[in-house]
Amino acid sequence: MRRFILRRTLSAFAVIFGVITVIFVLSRMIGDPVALMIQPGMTEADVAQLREMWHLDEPIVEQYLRFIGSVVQGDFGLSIWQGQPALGLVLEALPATLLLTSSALLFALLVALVFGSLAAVYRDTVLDRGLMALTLFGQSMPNFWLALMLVLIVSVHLHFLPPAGYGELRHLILPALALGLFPLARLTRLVRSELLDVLSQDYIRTARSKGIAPMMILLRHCFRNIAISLVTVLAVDFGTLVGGAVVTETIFAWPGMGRLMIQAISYRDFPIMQAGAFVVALVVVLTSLIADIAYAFINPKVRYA
Amino acid sequence: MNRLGNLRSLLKAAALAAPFVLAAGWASAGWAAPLGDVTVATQLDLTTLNGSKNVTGWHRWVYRNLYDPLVTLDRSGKILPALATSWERIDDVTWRFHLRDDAKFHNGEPFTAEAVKLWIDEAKKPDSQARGSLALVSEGKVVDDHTIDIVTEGPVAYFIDTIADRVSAIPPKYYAEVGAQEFAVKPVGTGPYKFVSWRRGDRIVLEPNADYWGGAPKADQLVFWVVPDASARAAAVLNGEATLATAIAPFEAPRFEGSTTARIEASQSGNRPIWGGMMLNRPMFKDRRVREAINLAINRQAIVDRLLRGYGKPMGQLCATSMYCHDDSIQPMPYDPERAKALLDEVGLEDMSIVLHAPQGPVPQSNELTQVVKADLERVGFKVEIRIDEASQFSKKLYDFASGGKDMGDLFIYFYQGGPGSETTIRSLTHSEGNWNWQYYKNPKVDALWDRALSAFDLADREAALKELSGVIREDLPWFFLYEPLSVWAVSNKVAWKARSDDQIIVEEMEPAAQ
Repeated sequence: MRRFILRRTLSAFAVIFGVITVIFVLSRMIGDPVALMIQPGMTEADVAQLREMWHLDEPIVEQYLRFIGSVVQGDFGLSIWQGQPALGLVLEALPATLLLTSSALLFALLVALVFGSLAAVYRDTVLDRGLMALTLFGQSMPNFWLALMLVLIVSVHLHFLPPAGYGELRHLILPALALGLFPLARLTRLVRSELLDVLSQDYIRTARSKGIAPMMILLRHCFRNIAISLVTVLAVDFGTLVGGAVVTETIFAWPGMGRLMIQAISYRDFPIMQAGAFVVALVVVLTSLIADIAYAFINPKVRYA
Repeated sequence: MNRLGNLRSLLKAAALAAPFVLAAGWASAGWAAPLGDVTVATQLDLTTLNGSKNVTGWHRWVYRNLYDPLVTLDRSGKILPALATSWERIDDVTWRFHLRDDAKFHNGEPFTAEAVKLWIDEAKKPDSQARGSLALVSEGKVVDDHTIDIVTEGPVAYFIDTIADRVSAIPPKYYAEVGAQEFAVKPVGTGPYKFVSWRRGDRIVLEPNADYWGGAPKADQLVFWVVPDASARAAAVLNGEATLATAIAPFEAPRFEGSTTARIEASQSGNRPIWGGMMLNRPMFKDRRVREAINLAINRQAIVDRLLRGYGKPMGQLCATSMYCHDDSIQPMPYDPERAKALLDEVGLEDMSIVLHAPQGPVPQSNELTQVVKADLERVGFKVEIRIDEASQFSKKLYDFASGGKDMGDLFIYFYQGGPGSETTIRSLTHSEGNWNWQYYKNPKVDALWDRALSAFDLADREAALKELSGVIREDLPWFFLYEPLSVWAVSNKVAWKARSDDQIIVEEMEPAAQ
């Protein structure tokens, strides 16, 4: 176990280091924040002074060494446009994103378990076909379109929930729904196919023949066996959504990481981009670590291996 | 008996009706409900709450209510006193401002000349995004507690216009105490509303300042709420979640037809004109007839009607309607493709291929717009290639003065921040030494007229010089004029509010709607 933790920690460091290095290099390639700052009456000396202020006049290797030097001290520098600590700005936006992402995935998981089980148990019936058609719809519908339709129908016409905002439970429902629909569709299909697999196993037949109630079989024997693949998919989705819920965040005015990052990229605010990439990488690494630990809990074989 | 009965029922009716009549009387006499909470849905969050560090429009929406400007503008663009009660010109470069003695900061600190000087000093620092607004200012000099001199680099006759709504005050004691970084998130001003909280990417909350020198503020709470998506902003107002929404896309306007809860208000002029530049350092544009042909080929009215659904004005000069340099007598450029073709035939250009360049972002609908302009230019014989760049890439190429803008397209489409008092911007664009002269435009007449305008302290003289300048440019055609897009706002029917020519949001101008 100790070797496992050590190995995981080392690889986590390598991943995070790799990500921030790539982001550093890419950010320097996409352009110059100072080009967006030039105002009437500014002389070339003024512009040079700005470059100097952010050390953009130095060779890239020097910039990189300076950057790594401060990162190991936990310092990602000040945002070029906001003048505030970049890591602080990112951490300020993180809770909103974590809340939205976990609500969306929780919703997706719970509904997928119900839908997927129904589809598997009632395989090849109208119910199964209907649910599968729905998941196809869910997977093929563009996220932004769904979000706009939700706003139009639920908020503007029915006045049921606010169209946008942050801070109360009623603000969370629509964005979580919009963000959760794609994972929901995917998870439903996964639950169904995995369950079909499990349901045909000998031990299920045995359990049935012993007279265990079908519901108990599903809960105690089947779900436990499909949990590993569910955890894997959920962990991947979580990582993707933490950095990439931009569209949903934009439409629902959700003050999360995705919007912060997009803005940082368009303004070439390097420190925020770097701090953001660091935090997303950290979240992804931690999520996969948690998933690995969860495997051991779910499946004794992993534990004893 | 019968008569008595009639009288009785009449009395009864009168008694029943009385409360309604009274209520109606109150409403019409201005006894309407107070303004309540005001929520403004905006497209972008602020980068800082330190007012001295940024003067872009969406920052000033908050600043105007949190700080007070030294001088401000009325609805027609005329200068009004605010923190400064009066001013005079001491000499060609020195302006003396007499300041209010009844204003104080939200933390109780007295408002003094020191506070104005601190604002100027901070705004001129390299980390400030407001430097451009004070490009012509060399320093602020405190004369006494309530008098400050502002000194300009050279004579700037329209100086007061350039600082209207752009210079204010920050409390020196508090600023020294907390430092610039902290002040940017916990600002203190003298304005009608006090800072309460800022959740980044979400909302800035202000509360009324009961001690405001201008009288008790009208709103119970003022919220600037960031809603980046335009259709979500429209929905927020239609739904009653917001009082006012900024930057509504013209194609959203039909959603408000027939709505009882909200309406569309558009400004009378546009503060972000869209214009076309020509790289005048390229041989193709040496001949004025080519420049004229390009101008004649573009159907501005069609662009305004279709892309902007009518929320725009075709232009025929470089200054937008709300600016002093705008000359009402200059007509929009005519649309005459036949004449354009004839002119081009006369010139007989060897190579008619041309690159049309535009940034994505700063120019709204740049994809559609370049397509339309391309079609117009091709109709008169040009072969057009479109190049769209991301904003920062575009400006990098634009500012590449060392190479003469070699990576720019032959024609480019861009915007400028106009509005009352932005002559400095036009000067930067057109003066041969202006740092925004991306087109390498050089006309001694234009330079001389700028010099004349800068030192014409008499308003009539100045306006004459500026209008003459607009005339010279119209004659010379170094640009291809496009249009000024009007500002489109969504407004809740709970309030009476009209869009201003400077696009400013002044909550104290809002009234509860008459019921």
